[in-house]
Amino acid sequence: MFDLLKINDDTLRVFNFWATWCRPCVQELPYFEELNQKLSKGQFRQYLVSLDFNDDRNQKLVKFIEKHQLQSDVLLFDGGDPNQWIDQIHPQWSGTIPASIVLQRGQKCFVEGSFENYNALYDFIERCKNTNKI
Amino acid sequence: MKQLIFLSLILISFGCTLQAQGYAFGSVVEDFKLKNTDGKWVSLSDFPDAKAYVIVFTCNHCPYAKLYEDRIIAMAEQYRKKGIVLIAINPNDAEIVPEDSYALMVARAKEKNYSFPYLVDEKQEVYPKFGASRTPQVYLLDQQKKLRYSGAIDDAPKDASLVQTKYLDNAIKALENGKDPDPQLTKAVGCSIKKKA
Repeated sequence: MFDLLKINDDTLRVFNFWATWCRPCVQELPYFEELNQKLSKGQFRQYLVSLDFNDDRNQKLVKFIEKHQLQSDVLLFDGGDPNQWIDQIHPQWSGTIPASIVLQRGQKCFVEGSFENYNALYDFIERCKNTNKI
Repeated sequence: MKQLIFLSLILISFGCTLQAQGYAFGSVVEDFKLKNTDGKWVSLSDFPDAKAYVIVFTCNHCPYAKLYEDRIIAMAEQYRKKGIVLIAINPNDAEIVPEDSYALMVARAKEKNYSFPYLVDEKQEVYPKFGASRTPQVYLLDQQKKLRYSGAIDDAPKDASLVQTKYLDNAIKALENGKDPDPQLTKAVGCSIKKKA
């Protein structure tokens, strides 16, 4: 997980931190799926990083992925003490989900909170590219 | 249209920054008056003999709040013996999360026999002053109602038996020893506070 965030290449990587129990996260997932569908042919990778509980993996997470037929890569993350790893993922993050990171050529953009629609997500990524000149 | 979205995103991030600020460490927290699950109104000034105050923003619905519920109940007992008052506040809008309605707060407090106030921030005017952004999130105030620590209860939300560092307990011990808590701010995973539209 932390290694993925350190990759410095031309591929555009989007990380979305979510959980099946987080309502605003689940609401915005379709926008990320749409993004994945539209960009997946190019140099693009998307990771839906689930903070679901390990015990819920089979019961909730796997069922959710099957039911919604998620096409993006889903990572189940459990890093121990959140006070240690939240800052490692991004210093601006308070630990509240959803949160998203856009990474390209070692440059990161971070946002905490949910996107209202696909355009808001797409625009965030475009804005990130412009700000970072990536 | 694009410009509009761009602008609203800036506002969102700006809003978050403002919200995250809240009371500075060392500043005196303003008193509040919020309704408890027993129908009575509760303020910090109701506890003039308190040696310290632990304010926990929590709620019924959030899985992380649920994980900490039994720990909060035990902490309230343990702290009471030290003269420390624990107050839980539900900051969520019940229209967005019906499980966090006042009626269901009353039911939950009764079911689990809460020995501490479980208040509702119905107007959502108190939690922004603290800069709270999620549940659960704790704030430790000293005897003078100065903010001394905020963040996580401990380092193992998912399993109380795996706790190695009790951040809040350590912060309280520091106050008891006349020291500044270190760290005074910790981060934790939680559910975003559901704000009225």
